[in-house]
Order: sequence, then structure tokens, then C-alpha cells
Amino acid sequence: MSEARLLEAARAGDQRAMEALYTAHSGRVFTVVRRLVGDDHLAEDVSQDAWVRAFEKLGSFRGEAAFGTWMHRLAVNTALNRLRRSGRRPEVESAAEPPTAPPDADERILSQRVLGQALDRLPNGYRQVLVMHDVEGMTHEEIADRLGVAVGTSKSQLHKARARMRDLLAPPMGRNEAGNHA
Amino acid sequence: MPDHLSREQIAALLDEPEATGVDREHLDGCSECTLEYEQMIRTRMALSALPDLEPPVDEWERIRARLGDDVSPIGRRVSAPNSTRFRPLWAAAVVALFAAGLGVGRQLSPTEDAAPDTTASRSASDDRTEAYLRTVAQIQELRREGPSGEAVLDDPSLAAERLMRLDALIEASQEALRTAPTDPVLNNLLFDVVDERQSLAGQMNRSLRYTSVEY
Ligand SMILES: [Zn+2]
Repeated sequence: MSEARLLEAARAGDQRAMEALYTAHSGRVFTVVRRLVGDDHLAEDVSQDAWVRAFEKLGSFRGEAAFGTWMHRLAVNTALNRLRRSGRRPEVESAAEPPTAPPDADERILSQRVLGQALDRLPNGYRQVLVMHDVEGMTHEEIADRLGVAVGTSKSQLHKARARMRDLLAPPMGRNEAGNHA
Repeated sequence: MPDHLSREQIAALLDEPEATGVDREHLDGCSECTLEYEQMIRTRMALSALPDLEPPVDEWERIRARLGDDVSPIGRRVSAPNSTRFRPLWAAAVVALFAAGLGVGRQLSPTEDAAPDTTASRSASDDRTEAYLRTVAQIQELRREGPSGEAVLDDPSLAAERLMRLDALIEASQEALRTAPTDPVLNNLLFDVVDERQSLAGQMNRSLRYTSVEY
């Protein structure tokens, strides 16, 4: 079954075709949304919104890119817009809660659960850039475009985000933020 | 020895392995900063390898409800036993259904889909699309039928029935995928069913263990 045929049927309002498209891409969509917003309930809401928007806008999807690529882009934009609307703008220097390591943090065993928890605890601005770059593999140009910031800002945010992530996973002991010996 | 690099400085070097300069020089000569650099690489690799998450089980139903009347009604429902007792015939019906989907999959090759859109071939491909969509919709429907959710966990016989249904779906979908191995819809269906089965079996094992402790 080609995706073009599914899309054609979905555009005509065939619910079965819509569900088939949903089934093929729902995992990726929910994942990127959940990672970006850092919260289960918000992710459920945003993921639904993204799909509803996608089916409403399906007529404008011309098929130059694969549906999955288009849908991924739409999901990322929906998540970023929601965070913006809710007043949680990407902060450049966020006063986040002080970094503390999870109780079972062990640098040798970087479990997915610990990593996910640390991602959730990052300030929104940091998490968004880190997820888009290091998890989703987007370029700084793409990230800058989506966030409406300069490429240099995207880069510096990423470096801060990585540092904060490390602080959460392994609190600095022998080093401090100024980079001096303890 | 000058001050160590901050984590932010080390993070910047991560993207520029060929960089030269004071920071790079320090990194190359400092075992402590090199250790932090390696940990950061490890974190980055772990981030890029994070697995996909599962959307909520009722997500599609919610989306469908929000789309409301803009969508056409679902295809014919497949009748499944209303009784909570599992009937072996149900498994056979699922296998037959996937076998039908298998035939459809064979017909719907990418080359055929790319064929010129004459009136005749257009009509034939519409028929095949319809057959494929009906099959996929029926499979989705079968997965939703029967006992599921929290109720299953409270009743061992319901849990056992759900497990048998999932086993039948897994067996049949694997059969279908042998001929249409790259179909993303079938692949994701199989993935979801296997995931649900693993989770359910795990929960059943745990409750069995708790039960046995009582004896
Ligand atoms: Zn150093």
C-alpha cells in the first residue's frame, strides 16, 4: 500500500485511511512532542492537537516531502507554539531549580529513565534546543528557524543545555561553574 | 595547571573536534576535563538512542472524536465474540483476515501504484485501496474488541483471554508481514500488539508471584 493512496483517501475524509496514517506515525509524533514539552499531560494534549491540525490541513500537504517528515515538522511546531502561548518562552538564562542528581544516579549506567527525568527537569528553553539537536538530529539552522532566534543563540543554548544536563546527571563536585579547581 | 574548563566550554568543543585554541589545548592536556568530555559524549549518544514512547492507548479515539463529522464512518465492524470466554475460532478468523490482507499487500506493489492513472486502472486501484483500508480497519477493530484495560488485571480469566487474543494477532500479523515486510501500518500494529502483550504478561507474572507468596 503506498502512502500516496492512503493520503488520497484520508484527504477525502476516509477515517480508516486517517487511522492507518496515525498508526504508522503516532509513536514518532508522541515521542518528539513529549520530549519537547517535558510533561505527560501537556504532551497528550499537544499530540492530539498536532494530529487534528494535520488532518484539517491535509489538503495543503503537497507530497514533496514524505508524510512522516511533514507530520514531524507540524508536531514540533505545535509543541513550540503551545509552550510559547502558555507563556513559557525559551529562557536564555533560566533560574531553574538547583541541580540535584537522581538518587540512583550512576555515571556508568545512564539509564533511559534517568535520562528522561533529567530532560524533564531542564528549563524549557534548554530542553527544546537539546531535544531538537541531540535527540532529533536537527541542525542549528533548522532550530534557529523554528525558534525565531539567531543560529549563534541556538548554539550557545545547546552548550548551556548540555552542561545543565550533566549537572543534573552528575552534580559538579571537583569542579564548579567557573571551571576552577575545587 | 590553569583553571579547568567549564562544562559549557566542554560542551562547545563537542561539536568541534577539529577546533584549535586555548580550550582545546587544555582539554588535550588535562585528564580530568577529558573525562568530563567523554561523559558528555556518552550522554549525547544515550540521548540520540532514546527509544520512542508509546502514545496513550485512547489517543486515536480522542482524535477521532475531535474530528467529528468531518470524517466518513468506519468500515464494517468485524463481529467478535461478545462472551468474555475466548473462542478458539476467533484466532482462526484473525489469521484469515491477515491472509486476506496479505493478498491485498501483494497486489499493491509500489510500481503498480505508480502506473499511469487511466480510468480503468484508477478504478482497479480504488478497489485495492478500499480492500486494504477495510482490512487494516478490521484489524484495528479486532484489537479494540474483547476485554482490555484495568478490568483485565483484576480478573485472571480476562487477562488470559486478552493474552490469547494478542497471541493470535501477533501470529497472524507476522504471517502477513512475511509478504509485506515494509508496510509501516502493519509493522506498527505488530509493534503495538507485542508491546501490549509483554506488558500484560509481565503484570500477570507479578500478580502470580504475589499470589504464590500467600501460600
Ligand atoms: Zn582541566
